[in-house]
Formats: sequence, C-alpha cells, structure tokens
Amino acid sequence: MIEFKNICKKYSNEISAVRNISFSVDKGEFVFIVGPSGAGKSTILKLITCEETPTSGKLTVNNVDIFSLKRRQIPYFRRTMGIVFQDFRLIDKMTVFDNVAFAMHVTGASQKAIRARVPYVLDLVDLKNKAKALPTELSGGEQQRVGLARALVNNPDLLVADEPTGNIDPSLSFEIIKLLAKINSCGTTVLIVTHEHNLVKKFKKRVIAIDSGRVISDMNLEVLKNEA
Amino acid sequence: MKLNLNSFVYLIKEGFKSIWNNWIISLATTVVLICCLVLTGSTVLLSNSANKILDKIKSQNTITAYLTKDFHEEDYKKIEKKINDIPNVTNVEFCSKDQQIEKYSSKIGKDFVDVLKENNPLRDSYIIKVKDLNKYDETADTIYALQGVEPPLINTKDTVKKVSNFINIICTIKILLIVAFAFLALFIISNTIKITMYGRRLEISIMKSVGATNLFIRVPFIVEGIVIGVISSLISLGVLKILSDIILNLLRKMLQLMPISFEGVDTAMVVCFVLAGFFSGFIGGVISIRKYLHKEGGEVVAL
Ligand SMILES: Nc1ncnc2c1ncn2[C@@H]1O[C@H](COP(=O)(O)OP(=O)(O)O)[C@@H](O)[C@H]1O
Ligand SMILES: [Mg+2]
Repeated sequence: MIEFKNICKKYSNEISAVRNISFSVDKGEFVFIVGPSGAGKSTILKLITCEETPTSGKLTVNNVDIFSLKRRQIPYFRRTMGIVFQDFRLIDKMTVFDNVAFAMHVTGASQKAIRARVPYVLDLVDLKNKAKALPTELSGGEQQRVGLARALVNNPDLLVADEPTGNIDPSLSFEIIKLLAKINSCGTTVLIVTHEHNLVKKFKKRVIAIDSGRVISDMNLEVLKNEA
Repeated sequence: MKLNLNSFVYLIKEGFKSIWNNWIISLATTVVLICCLVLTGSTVLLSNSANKILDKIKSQNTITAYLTKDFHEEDYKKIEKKINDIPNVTNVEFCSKDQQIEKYSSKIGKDFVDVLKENNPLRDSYIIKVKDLNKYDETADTIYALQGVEPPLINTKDTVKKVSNFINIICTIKILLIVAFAFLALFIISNTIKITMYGRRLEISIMKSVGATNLFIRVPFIVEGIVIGVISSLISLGVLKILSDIILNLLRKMLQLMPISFEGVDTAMVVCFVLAGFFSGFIGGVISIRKYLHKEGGEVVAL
C-alpha cells in the first residue's frame, strides 16, 4: 500500500525534515505515527499525499510510484485517498451536507449519486440529523466528523489524518479514533499522526515513532497485546 | 482532463454564485467596464458617422460652381461648353438662383420665397458631375480656374479634406482607446477574480486535497469573468443605443439642411462588443488563477 525506501526530504530552506526513512504499510493496516513537534510527521503525510515530493529515495503509494506521477495525474491520484486535517478545513458558509457533497462534485459525480451517498456517509459518522447545520453550529468533535465524512465520501483505499484530534476535546478524541478504527475494520488503510500517547496506548495498534526526521521505533502493540 | 456534464452544470452555477456572493466587487467592475466600453463605443460611432458623411459627400460626385455675376444667355452656353470640355466631367446642369430658392420653399414658406425672388441673394450655379472621384480635386481646380466661375463659400473640396482629417484623428483615437480598453479590461477583470479567489482560497485548497483538477478549479472563475464581461458589454450597448438615438434626434431637428447623418449601434458592433466582453472575461479569468494553481493545499490557505 505504502512503501518508503530511503526517503529524504529537504525543504528549500535546507531543513532536512525527513532523513533516510524506510517503512511500509500493508493494505488494511491501522498505523499511528507519533513523535515530538517538528519531528517530520506532517512532512511524511505530505509526501504520501503528493503535496511535497521527496528529495531522494523511492516512494510508492497505492501502487503508484510518486516520482513517475505527472503533475496532471495528481488530482486523480488523490481521489484514491481521504485526507483529514487538524483544523477540519470545512467551508463555513456551506451546510454539513454540502461540505461533504463538495468532494463528490469535484470527481464529477451526478446529483443522484450525491444524494444517495452523502446521507450514507453522514450516518456512518453519526451526523445524519445535522446535515442541514452549518459547521459553526457544531462542536469540534462534530466538525471533525464532518471532515471525516468528506474524506470517506469518495470511498478511498487509504485514509490519512494529521493530528485529527489536535483541535478537539480529549474526551471526544477517543470517539474520533474509534470511528477511524471502525472505518479501518471495513478494509480502508488508516494512517494517523498524533502526539496523544493516551490514545495510542488505548488502541494498541502499530506505532511508528519519529524523531528528527528518522524512524526510532516501529512496534505493533496489537501483536504485543496478543502475545501477552 | 475532460469535465463531464455534471461537473459542467455544477461549475457554471458556482460561477454565478461567486458573482452573487461578491456582488459589490462584481458591480464595481461592471460599472468601470461599462464606462470604458461606452467611451470606446462612442468613438467608434463617431468615426463610423464621419465615414458615412464623407461617403455621402463623395457619392454625390458633384462639384458646385457658382457664377460670379449674371450673364447673358450666350455666355452661359460658352461657360457650360468649356466645363463640358474638361476631361472627367460627365454632366453639367444649370441651376438658376430661382430654382435654388424654390428648394427651400417648403421650409421657409411660399410667400417668403416670392419676396426673395424679387431680390434674390443667391447666384446661378452649375452642378457638375465627375466620373473619376480620385481626380475630383484636379477637376474642381480646373473648373474654378475658368473665367466667370468661382467655388461655393463652403467648398466641397475643402469639406472632403476636413472630414478626411477628422476621420484620421478619430480613427487614431479609436485604435488607442480600443488597445487601452483591452488592457484595462483584462487588468480589472483579473483583479476582481483575484479578490474573489483570495476569499475562496480555503475552498481551493480543499478542492485540491480531494482531487480537483486544475480545469475544475478554474471554470467557476472563468465563468465569473465571462459573465461580468458579457453583461458589461450588453449594458454598454444599451447605453450607446440610447445615446445615439438622442443625438440622432437632435441632429434631425437642428441640421435639416445639412448632409449630416449619425450612425447608430449596428449588428457588427453588437457582435464585436459581446465578443470583446466574452474574451476579456475569459482571458482575465485564465491569467488570474494561474498563480493559485501552482500552489498546494497548506500554502494556499496561508496566502
Ligand atoms: N514548507 C516548509 N518549508 C520549510 N521547512 C518546513 C516546511 N514544513 C515543515 N518544515 C520544517 O520541517 C521540519 C518538520 O516539520 P513537520 O513535518 O511539520 O513536523 P511535525 O509535523 O512532526 O511537527 C520542521 O523543522 C519544520 O520547521
Ligand atoms: Mg505536524
């Protein structure tokens, strides 16, 4: 699904955000990426979503070699993944329904398909009765669930989330991750960047720890849990 | 890279929505564009009219020659023959001063004409038709050089020259205005779109993150530019039509005796204006979004 091979990323200001990272994520996995601020976690996600290109190495995402991807192919490549942001990135003047439908319009979906799919996804994130609400009328947790619905609406193979719980109540964070785990159980590969250790401990999944642009540990707590 | 029908319908709606959401800016842009277009249009109309007048004067193909004094019958014949002998002259027609007065009878009244005939201030004249218009000046000069003949106070030859000069000046102004307008329109439209785009940069970044093609992102802004451009051109055509009708009426009332006509808005002008509005909107839309399309998600939001 995702394969990093000796990936380095140097920004134009000579900062090396990622130094010689190698790891791979299989289809259907659920992975936490943890590490201190400035470790390079967001950069790793940006490399996956093709928002940044690696300086060197070999990167394959969803069976696509990032280096062979042409500029005009990037939009189609992105439709195979869902992206969740820390700051939700919802459009305030659009209703919850329209915020989610937006992602389908982009792919050229018909009104009929949109009317069928959006309520289904809103139901999945438990927001069916908020379809007509504006984002500003929702709590942080609810807003992030809208973000999640938008990421899911085009039925992606891969879901990446950069600190999806960073802007919401810790008590609600758990719900969001639970939702992501539920989505993962339906076969979607999920990659979450977070620095909330409580969550990581609670969910016992694979954890990749990053520091100063390097992988410092890669453990599968699920396996440990089963062995214990 | 192609858009399907669903996208197309959606994007056109988005373009109109954008105009509506930024109606103050859209309105201001439209007003400025209308001013430019009306100014340019007036010059075009003016030069068209001047050309028409020149054509009219030339198409008469006539040179009017007045006689310096009253002659005897045989002298008239002599002069007429001399004129007829000049190459390029096809026809010479005598027009007595009484005949000339008669022409005005409908305007000044029959009684007055009769009074005038007693002591006619006009002079007998020849209306001379020429064959080759290019030799108009030469022929006129030859005629006026004859004994007993002189040019009218308002010389057709001079009028042609004056009108020609006027047309040249108007044409230069017209071309300058059109070029200036093209640049100004592009500048104004692209700036308007930049403003709406700035307001929608979050939307653009989200569109990119969910896989919108550049074409998809572009279309609403191009639609916005085209709609503003075409609406401005249609309104300015309306304004020009009203203005030209007013001028036309005034001229008809004031200058009944003079061969002046004023050209109104014609089909060619409508087509040109709408096309100009369309393309300035289109190009303005295209150039203003380029900058944004090369930026990625987070960068767009941070702008
Ligand atoms: N666009 C950028 N240009 C230059 N430097 C950047 C850019 N984005 C991130 N960095 C730098 O790269 C390093 C890693 O950043 P980031 O991946 O955002 O870390 P994290 O998400 O783990 O906090 C930091 O030192 C940061 O300052
Ligand atoms: Mg980060």
